Amino acid sequence: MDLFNIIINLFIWFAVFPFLAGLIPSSFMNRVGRTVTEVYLCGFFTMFAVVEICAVPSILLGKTLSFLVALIMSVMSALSVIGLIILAVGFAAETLPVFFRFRIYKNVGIADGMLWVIFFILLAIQLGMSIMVMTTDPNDAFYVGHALASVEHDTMYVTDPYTGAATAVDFRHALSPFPIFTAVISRVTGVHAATVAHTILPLFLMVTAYMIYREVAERVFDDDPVKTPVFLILMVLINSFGNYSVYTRETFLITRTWQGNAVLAGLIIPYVFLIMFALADLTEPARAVADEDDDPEVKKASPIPGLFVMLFMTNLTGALVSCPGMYLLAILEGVAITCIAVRNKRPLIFPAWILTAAPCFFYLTIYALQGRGL
Amino acid sequence: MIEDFREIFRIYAQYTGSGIVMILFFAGLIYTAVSVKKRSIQTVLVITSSVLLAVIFCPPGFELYDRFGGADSYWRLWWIMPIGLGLGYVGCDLIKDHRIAGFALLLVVLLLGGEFVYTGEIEGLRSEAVNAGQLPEDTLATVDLLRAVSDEKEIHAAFPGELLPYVRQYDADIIMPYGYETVRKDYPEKNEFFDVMSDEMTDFERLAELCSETGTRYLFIPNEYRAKHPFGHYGFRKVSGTAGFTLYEYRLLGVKGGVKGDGSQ
Repeated sequence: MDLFNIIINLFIWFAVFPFLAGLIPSSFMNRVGRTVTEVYLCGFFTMFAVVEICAVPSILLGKTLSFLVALIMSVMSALSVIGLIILAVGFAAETLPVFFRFRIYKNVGIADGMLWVIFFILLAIQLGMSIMVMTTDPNDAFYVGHALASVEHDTMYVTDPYTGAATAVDFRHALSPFPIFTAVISRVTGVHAATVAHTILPLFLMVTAYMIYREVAERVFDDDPVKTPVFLILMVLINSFGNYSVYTRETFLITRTWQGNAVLAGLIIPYVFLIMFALADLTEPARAVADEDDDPEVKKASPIPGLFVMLFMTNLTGALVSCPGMYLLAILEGVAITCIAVRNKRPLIFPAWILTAAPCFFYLTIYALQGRGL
Repeated sequence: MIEDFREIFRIYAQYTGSGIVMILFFAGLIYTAVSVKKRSIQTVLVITSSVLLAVIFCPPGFELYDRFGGADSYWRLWWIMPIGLGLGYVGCDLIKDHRIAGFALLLVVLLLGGEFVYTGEIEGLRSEAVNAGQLPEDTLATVDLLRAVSDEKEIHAAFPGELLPYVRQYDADIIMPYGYETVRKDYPEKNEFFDVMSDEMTDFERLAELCSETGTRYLFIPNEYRAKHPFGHYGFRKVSGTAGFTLYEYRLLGVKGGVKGDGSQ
């Protein structure tokens, strides 16, 4: 496949699909989730949730990779069409300014603007390093091995990735088939699975991680135009110097970006924190939903249900990337939701969370049944 | 209970390295608890983190995790502590109007307490990427050589330990009698084929038997290894080689009885 087609396909999968699909959940989220970055993040996690929902049954039923690619493309295309309709309605009703709230910072001097320039330079260096520095993790024998075998043999999880011997479907790993996403991108672009994993995915996943940090900064610093770039610069530095052991979240994000565990540590957990910050803000006793937006049309809707929808999508993404990660998400969300519910005197958010955490409980039950299996 | 507590601390020490970054994080939590008034920050960053800390250091919780998940992966629980986000938040709040001094101070602290991720320790290899797939060059050289000498779609070949993780990342049609799982620390079973391949005095007699049993046609053996017996006597021929490895072909695959030491069948 030529370079033009590769770029077009990457643009569709990492820009068009997430952005248009993200318009669906974000339309239920009031101001939360209505900037371009927030819409993209909603769509990003929705797309991974779709991959999980489509891939697991397909693998267990012994379908081919071609079948799965067609299925995922159909679902994402349908969601994108719905997103386009939402966009068209937004244009017609002239509500797009609310929808696409590009943050225009006022009273920002040149020195403050330079902070953004510094951040983008540092980010570009980090992305450049992910292309120029090879960090070979032996566990890729499993992750990339599965992805490549799926592409070359048009099967899923029926060969031992280490030796190539035929094997029965590995039920436990098939529940979290993130390598299949690598295989899907490899199949639609025609790029070798190792190149997709080691060179292409890190670029997109790391940029998405910084989008999440940006939204966290906007949330915790109340849209402060100066603190957001300072926070982002700090996050680049913290990630760059975070190799205080081989186990850290930062080490995984930078050196194993393409692995499911790295997506869990570097993207999903920070996104859960973003949702928790938003929930804690929006459920404060003294704070009405109306405080979130000046637009009278927007005041009518509460973004809280939308946040729980995104928490559900995030948990499904967690299921896609890491089976043991569901432990972590269940503990993190359970503790944070309990703290928010008690402190803000909003007990109803706890049963709401129980519903959204269904994927976590499902996976925990499977683990309990399997005994030791992490 | 005491033993569990010791184990939790051991895992904490393993995760935190020098411990400076974690101390900074804890100090940051105290700073946030004392000086930040925003309610949601207090709830999520301070209270939730404190409860999570209590959960991680809770021995009954550790036992439960060990029973279902295995203590060897307990370090992953530290991922749910917002260490990076917390440090970023506190750093940002502290830097405020003294940005240059603040950044410089933070950089010094990170240099002392952390380690640059592009030079620090990792579990695999690190080098300059010389191909788009970011795979070691010797892997590509060996697999390309195999493809050049064989026209079979599926090639059955055995590799030395250092190439095991990478071969099937490059070509999924290479079938191996043992794979990366053999060299994993947590793999309980020994593999005789791998053991014989790893011996610096290569026993081609035994390799001939193992090749027959597993249907393996090609072997890559490090150039510095020496043959215990003349390999030709056991049905092998030297095909070619790369900078680090010699490629041998077992010519008697499927031949009943194989070749004995004197060269007769």
